[in-house]
Amino acid sequence: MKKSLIYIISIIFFIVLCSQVNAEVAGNCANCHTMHNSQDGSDMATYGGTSEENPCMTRGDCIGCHAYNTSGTNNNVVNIDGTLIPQVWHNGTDDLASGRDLAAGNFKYFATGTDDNKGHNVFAIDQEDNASMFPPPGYKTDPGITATNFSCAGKHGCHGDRTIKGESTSMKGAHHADDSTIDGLSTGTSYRFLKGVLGLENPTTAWQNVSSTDHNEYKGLTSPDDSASDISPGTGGSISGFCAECHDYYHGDDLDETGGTASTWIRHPTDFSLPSSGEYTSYSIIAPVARVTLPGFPSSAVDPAGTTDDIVMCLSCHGAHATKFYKLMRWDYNGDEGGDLAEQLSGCLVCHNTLN
Amino acid sequence: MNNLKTIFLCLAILMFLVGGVSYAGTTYLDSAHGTQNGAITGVKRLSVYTDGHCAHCHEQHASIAGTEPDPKTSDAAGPDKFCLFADNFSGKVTNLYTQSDNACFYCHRTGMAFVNYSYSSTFGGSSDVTPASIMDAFNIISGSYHNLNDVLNFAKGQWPTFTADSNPCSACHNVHIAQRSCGKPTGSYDPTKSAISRPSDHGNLWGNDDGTVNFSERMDAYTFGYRAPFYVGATPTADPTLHEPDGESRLISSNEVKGINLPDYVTFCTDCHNATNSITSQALGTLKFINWATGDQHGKTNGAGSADGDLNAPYTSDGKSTGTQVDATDFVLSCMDCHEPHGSSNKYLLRTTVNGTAVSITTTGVWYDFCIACHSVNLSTTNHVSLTTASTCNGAGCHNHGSNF
Repeated sequence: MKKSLIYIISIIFFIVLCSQVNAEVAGNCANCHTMHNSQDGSDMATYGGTSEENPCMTRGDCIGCHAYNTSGTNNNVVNIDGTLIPQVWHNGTDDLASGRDLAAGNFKYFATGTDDNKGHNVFAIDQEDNASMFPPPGYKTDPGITATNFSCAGKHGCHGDRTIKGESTSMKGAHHADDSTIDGLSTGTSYRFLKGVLGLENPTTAWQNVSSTDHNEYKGLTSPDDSASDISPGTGGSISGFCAECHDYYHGDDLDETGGTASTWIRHPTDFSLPSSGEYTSYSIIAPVARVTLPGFPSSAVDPAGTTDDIVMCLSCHGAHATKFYKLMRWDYNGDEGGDLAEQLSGCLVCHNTLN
Repeated sequence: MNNLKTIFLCLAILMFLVGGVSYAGTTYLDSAHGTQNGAITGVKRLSVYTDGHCAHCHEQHASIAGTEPDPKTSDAAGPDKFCLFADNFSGKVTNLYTQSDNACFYCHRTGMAFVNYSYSSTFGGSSDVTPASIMDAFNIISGSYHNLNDVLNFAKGQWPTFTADSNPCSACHNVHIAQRSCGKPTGSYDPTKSAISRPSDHGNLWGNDDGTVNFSERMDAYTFGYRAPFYVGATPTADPTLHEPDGESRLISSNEVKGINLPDYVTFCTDCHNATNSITSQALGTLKFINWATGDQHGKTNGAGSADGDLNAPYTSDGKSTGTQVDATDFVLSCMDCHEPHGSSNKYLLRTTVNGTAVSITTTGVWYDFCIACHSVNLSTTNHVSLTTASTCNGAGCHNHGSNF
């Protein structure tokens, strides 16, 4: 009897909470949640084709909602009962350079193909158990991510609180948080629920980088953040610092990138101002840059003086989820998609344009 | 009048526009390493990338899928400066060099699908194809070579584009734009392409401009006059006959023999080897100053001529008759007419084939065999009377750079 009472009170509390919080996610609670996974005897937790009981009583897991209908067309964003949901795995064919894919790309490219090196092979999408791809390349501290536990969120994923095991648990409350201010202090108030990361989520065309004036703004720094760790991007909140949580040696600290001198890179730098000699002359969604000072609205401005606002980052070259190209590159870097040498180097030459 | 102004204005604008189109800068994709627009095969190390791809030399993360690609031992282990696949330069003081001493030598060595013969062979027509690679040229033991550490030590304090971390080869070559101008002795020659960049102008090629659009970077720009040496197989008494650098049969009066197709190596080399730069050589100590403008008879100084010798063709009035001293004019030489750039079995980087003639100089100062490729030497005159063909020529301030005769 006592257990039943607690259960009922919890449900009431949950419903009241849903109706009052000014959350990012809007609409009826039932769009996303189900109390009993049953409606007139039919399963309700069916998003993504599943019929399981999910944590937080959601109607689907991560890909259940964010890969809702992978066979549809032009469906990088879907409307589920009035709520727009970005589709990380969809059937579109556009690449990042077109401005028509999601900013992080499309998991389709390894989900439906045999080429695992085109994306972050989360187990929910890629279940081939390609153990050779783990642990993450460039790691300093093995994060324990394997082919069978690589998840969208949590300890073995990217989104949510990476100190908490479990996708849904690590994301708890994030979708309901007031994210009008991105401060990185909680999962819900972090850029794209990447805990600790700062940025400006595109207010014009949500979740996409469409053009030089219609895109996300990423947080960058003028030098790698020494406060970063394997569970934190560091106090600077840079997107590259976040990638370094797993790929530390590809970002790391000053010594890791320069071999101990101030000018000669031993790895391609990230969190570093492009030089003032005019390499990067206009904002490019093929090779976007991060900002030290995030603008209030997406900006096409770049600063040729290179003092603060043209920051090379991991996402200058790579997509976050998956792209149609080798190694999640933003362009056809090795010609697998038929690009000639000029096309393969096209992204490089956006910045290294003195060679062009 | 207004119409005239309008026409003039339009012509001026048109000139700028056309000029702008013509002055297309050299790009990586135009370079030898970048496949040279498909004309030749570019740099190649990793099978996963197309010929000419940046990744053959540069490793963005020193890793592909968590594993460093080959080479990954010795100097190539781990990440390297400039994101190169191996250590740029070891700082080795003298040869013999190994691959691990210079990242360039991983490809510019024997056993590759391409060859880099000596200047004497490539542009002079010598059939001697030894050395057949750049690394081999720098590794000649008994001759001479352009000491890489000496180059590094001088250049790093001279130009901001060159630092202590730079590769010595970068003093003369910009690897991102350098082009292969000549496939000889079996291929063709294209003077619009150049492998060299002046140390003082690292961002641009040198020698590829013939003066049509930009100022000339060729030897014909010297008003003193230039004559291309004979190519191996030439008939010195004939006109036309074979001349450097392309080995084609040319009239002595042709623009090619006047140097329109040859980079101005004098300006190139005197960026370093000039009248003011003090250069320290591991083998030679402090190098002689080179005053090509006013202090060297092979330069712009008008040779007075003497009874001690005479000139051979093509440096004679008709270009084919030995002993007909040119009057009222003189010739300036290209440094490459006498010297190899990388290494030589001869002393002082002297070429092994000069003016179509094979030459061996194994003793410093015993230049006779070298000189007679272009000069007839009279050993019976007062100045030469006590000398033989085995005598040293550079004693008593006689024959060296900067001497008066």
